[in-house]
Amino acid sequence: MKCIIIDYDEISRLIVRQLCVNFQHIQILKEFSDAIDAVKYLNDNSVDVIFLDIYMPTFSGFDFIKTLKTPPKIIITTSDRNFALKAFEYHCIIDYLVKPISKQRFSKAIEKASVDEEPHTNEPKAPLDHFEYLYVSLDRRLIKIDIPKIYLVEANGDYINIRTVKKNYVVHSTLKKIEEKLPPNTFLKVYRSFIINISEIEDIEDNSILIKKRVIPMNRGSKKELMKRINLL
Amino acid sequence: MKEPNLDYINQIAGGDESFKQNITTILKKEFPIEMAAFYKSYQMKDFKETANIIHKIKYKFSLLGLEDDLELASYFECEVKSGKTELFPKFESILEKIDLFIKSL
Repeated sequence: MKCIIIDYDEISRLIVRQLCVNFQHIQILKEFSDAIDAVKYLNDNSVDVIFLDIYMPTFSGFDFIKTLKTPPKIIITTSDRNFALKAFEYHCIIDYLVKPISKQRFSKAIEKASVDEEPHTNEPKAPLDHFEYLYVSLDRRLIKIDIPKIYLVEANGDYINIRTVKKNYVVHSTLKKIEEKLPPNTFLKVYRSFIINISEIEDIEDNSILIKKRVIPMNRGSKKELMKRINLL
Repeated sequence: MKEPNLDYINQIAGGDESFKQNITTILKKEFPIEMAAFYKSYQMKDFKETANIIHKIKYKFSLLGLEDDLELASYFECEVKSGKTELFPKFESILEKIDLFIKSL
């Protein structure tokens, strides 16, 4: 199995190389500290697996994947847990290893990589609405929120309020970021500061929506979009 | 407070002394440079660069078995990105602890 390692950090590259020593069928062809150099290399060379870091100064791991027309299997190696959900949007990403990588965890990733599969694409695996949960960072913990239970998200300065029937979560994030994580067929941004869960709408007036006793303003463009999406008699 | 150690490196090395030596050499070379760069950007209030350096340094925390300190560094990285610095004293004490350890290698 021909592999390359792309990681800005020299120690990380050494560790992945050392972990590969235990697998005779793995051949590390080259290491790159800069993803741009790897793109050039892949123009002339084919590989089976790429060990790829996400956080790199000039070019992120995700940017790198987007440059590949038919990417090989990619194993993410990162010290950041936060990109796991995004990573699994890509067909070509077969595993997500958080540093420091243990031998056991690395072995599992190699097992997955060793299975023959159809060629991959760099297209997202499935629409985001296939995710049922959203993890948010709160008080130094990652809290799981059931996406269908969210009825409203509202912007509040540097924070967003994620409202569910049971609880209100105040998260340091933006409306734009959460909009990307919510299934577009269920959620709609109806005004500058609000994203609503369409299935929770109780009442629609001219330019407002009633949702869990909250009146949410709606602009004309959103109303047009909303009318297309609801089951209207 | 947990002390830095080479348990993880030893486990990955599996008896390969040259691997261990390579890692130690890089740690000794990189850590003082990164620490100096951290203080420089922090003092200049270049918080974007400071966060980048924290991101690079924090990986070394995990290599040296300091999982709790890694977590703190991740929060400090986020904090710095938004221009806040409350966790600076705790982060600094971790840096000093690691610096001493690396010098002892």
